[in-house]
Amino acid sequence: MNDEAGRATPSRRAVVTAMGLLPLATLAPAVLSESQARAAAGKGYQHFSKHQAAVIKAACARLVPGPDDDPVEKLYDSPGATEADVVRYIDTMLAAFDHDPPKIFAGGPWSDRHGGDADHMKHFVPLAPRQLEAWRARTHDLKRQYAAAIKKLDAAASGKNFAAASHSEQDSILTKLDDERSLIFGHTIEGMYSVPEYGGNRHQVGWKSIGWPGDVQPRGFSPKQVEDSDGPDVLLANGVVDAVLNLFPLIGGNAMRKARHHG
Amino acid sequence: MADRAIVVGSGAGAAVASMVLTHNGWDVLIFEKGPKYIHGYEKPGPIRTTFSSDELKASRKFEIPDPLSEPRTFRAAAGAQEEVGEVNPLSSCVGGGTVHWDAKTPRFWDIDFKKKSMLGPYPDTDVEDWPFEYADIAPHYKTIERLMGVAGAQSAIPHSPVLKHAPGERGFVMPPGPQQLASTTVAGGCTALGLHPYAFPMAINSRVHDGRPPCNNCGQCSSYGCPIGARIGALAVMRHAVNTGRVEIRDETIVDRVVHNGKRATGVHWIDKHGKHGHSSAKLLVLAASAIETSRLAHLSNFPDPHDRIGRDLMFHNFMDGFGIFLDQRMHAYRGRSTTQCCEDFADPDFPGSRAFAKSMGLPYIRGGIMELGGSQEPIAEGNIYTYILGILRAFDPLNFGKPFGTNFKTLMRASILRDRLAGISHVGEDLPYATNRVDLDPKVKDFRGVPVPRITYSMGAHEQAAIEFFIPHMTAILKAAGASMAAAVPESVSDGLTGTAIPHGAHVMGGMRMGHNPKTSVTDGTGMVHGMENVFVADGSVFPSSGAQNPTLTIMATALRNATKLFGDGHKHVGQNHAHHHGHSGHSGDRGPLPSTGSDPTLPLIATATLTAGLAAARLARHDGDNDSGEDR
Repeated sequence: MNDEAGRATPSRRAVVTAMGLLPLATLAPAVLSESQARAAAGKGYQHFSKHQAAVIKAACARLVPGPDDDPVEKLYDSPGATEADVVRYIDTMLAAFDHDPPKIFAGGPWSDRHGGDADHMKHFVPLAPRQLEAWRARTHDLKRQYAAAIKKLDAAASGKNFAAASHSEQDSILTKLDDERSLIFGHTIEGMYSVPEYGGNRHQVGWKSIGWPGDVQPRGFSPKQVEDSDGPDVLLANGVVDAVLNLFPLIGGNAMRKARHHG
Repeated sequence: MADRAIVVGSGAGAAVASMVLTHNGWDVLIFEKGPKYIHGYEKPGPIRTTFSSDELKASRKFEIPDPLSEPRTFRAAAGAQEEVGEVNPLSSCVGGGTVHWDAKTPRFWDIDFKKKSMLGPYPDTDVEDWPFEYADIAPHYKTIERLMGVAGAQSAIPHSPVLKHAPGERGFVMPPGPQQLASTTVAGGCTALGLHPYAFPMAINSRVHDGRPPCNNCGQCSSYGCPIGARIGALAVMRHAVNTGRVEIRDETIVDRVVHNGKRATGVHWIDKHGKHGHSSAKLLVLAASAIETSRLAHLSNFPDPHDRIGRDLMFHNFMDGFGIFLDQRMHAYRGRSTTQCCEDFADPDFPGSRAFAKSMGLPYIRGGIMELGGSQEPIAEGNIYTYILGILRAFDPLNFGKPFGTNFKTLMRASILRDRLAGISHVGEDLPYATNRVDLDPKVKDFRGVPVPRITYSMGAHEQAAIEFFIPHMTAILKAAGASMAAAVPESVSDGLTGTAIPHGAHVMGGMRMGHNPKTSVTDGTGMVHGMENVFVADGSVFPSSGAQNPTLTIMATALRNATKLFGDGHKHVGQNHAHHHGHSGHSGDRGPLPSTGSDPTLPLIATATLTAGLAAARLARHDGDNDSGEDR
């Protein structure tokens, strides 16, 4: 049953686990799940090993660079995947089922970022059976894909360690390995621009870097903000933007159909 | 004890059918295969929900069936290669598709109900008249508009083409909300070209209504559940059913078979969230699970189908999407209700030039449809598109273009040409009925419960292709006239180039159980009762004989209301008429909504009305025992 207040109700699995650890529980201040125990043991991540996390962190920083990763970003002082802690987002997604309820759907109706009484998004929504079924399979498959991708990135690096390779070598590997790049890039985008409760977008730096206000409930926008222009904002010429604009009539719609909203 | 009806589904049509049935003496047991995410809608006042402004949650399919556990299959034609995955899914939870819709409520036109007699026959299609006409459904439109709480301005609706084809006073109960800059800008382009845009009627509060707050313009609207309950869709009608005390809703329970003897349904077989199987019996079956799911259930139940009509004439809309990029200002379409302006000129078969164009293509006429003006998208979707475009750029210019990520990506996100500088057009073109477009059961693929999934066979016809060719340049012209620096328009069905097929995803799904007087060419009769069955009533968009050229939900609800009233009585006719009283009273005052505030004990007339109408309904149902519709609608 979905708890309307978004609170976790202990599942059968959690209760069984707790019973199995009962003797331990009398000694420890709190019962730790396997992943929490691993995290507490100093690795810092729930799913990734230290090395795996380093590889993913390095790849994310090339895909969506911050000030320390690219001179242009330094100029803009524009945070990237490292600043947003995207590797934490991906790790949280892969370890979603180490939590109860699983960290798949953040709660509602709002966070405390724009006048909310409390951060209801912190409390994840228990999954319906059909969601459990799908997301168990999906995260299981993603774990496999990430393990394989990390191996492949390492193997492509001259020193057999992607994380230790130079930026230019990392770039050329990521340019070459299309499948691995798309896997990590898609989740890097999610980790940059999703609500921070999923583990990324730390301090909302992803949103701030693009002028996106994020979740604005329960405050919302005033009628004037809806109806009026904010004033001129002329887009200056720039190589990549111009290239996209030149291609737009050809590719705009083709790409956009992938994202059309329901209505 | 009252007779029991079972309703499959809890969305637009189900809410209306449940309201009519409960107010006419029936007990109603509702099965909804999805969860319940909106709580407290039954009473006037704020709702509680776990819906939120969370793009990731929406893209992870919080309220939509996940193709990993509930896939569908798709093929362009019989014998063509089949794909397994997501095929035009609707939100599946208590409230159905109206939980995350953008609540637009235009009416269909007179010509939609009398297509064949007013516009003439259309070769190679199943174009027919509906069993009723605009004048018959108009009062029901008004009732639904009032019950859902539609915001709109009668004076804003243009006579030509809209009121000319859909006359009458709307049941607007509040004025339109703030108009989005992106919408008014694109509407300006329409006006400059002599078209007639107006404030889009929508069931989103612009003031407190039923104790629910006005919309606060959060912007994450279409395809999100409303976090504050300013938009609760069909649940605003469902509450009038629930408040009779005669309704039980079993969520997370799928009906996988209607039990019947070939003539009369006796109940349903269901599977609940624990995987438990069970049976419930009823005197009346109402199918309202949405067009594809209702057709699937009819197939799963082996309904009599001597003429092979079940699931045929499936229709989506012929969506065309326009994209205007504004390089000199930000359009901030992320503020406010999604697309606050619309324009219906392209729904007119006499739109200048279209007759001649149709003739040149050897077709009787072509129609586009309503346009939603000013839409855009959100950052995760935007980012994903840039990764796709950067990949293409590299292919176009492999030597000089840099890497398809990094600062190139971030520059695009900062410039935001495909989000903050974008104002779009979503054009809802009519999709004609073709018998070859259909739903049947996939012979191999099953959902996670082991139930065969629907297989969709669909290709657009000559009409749709011609309409695309004619209207795409007009859409581009509107965006340019609106001041867009760059503009493009494409059919939604543009192939993604990977598989050579294009799976429609516009979330407007109609047909499969079409109404008609002739059982050889239709599945349900003139009131939505399944031909050849005595007690199976279909109350969703599957009964549409044609798709119209407007957003379908209002017409789904008005059709269900018209049919259910004919079948079961009008004991619901005073429902919601004492809205004004709801605000001033606390708690239960509005819960007995069906009755006028006479000051007398409401219980006695309620029982009397219920008894009388239940008797009438029973008599009515008893007449549905043959293959022939008696033509009582004329």
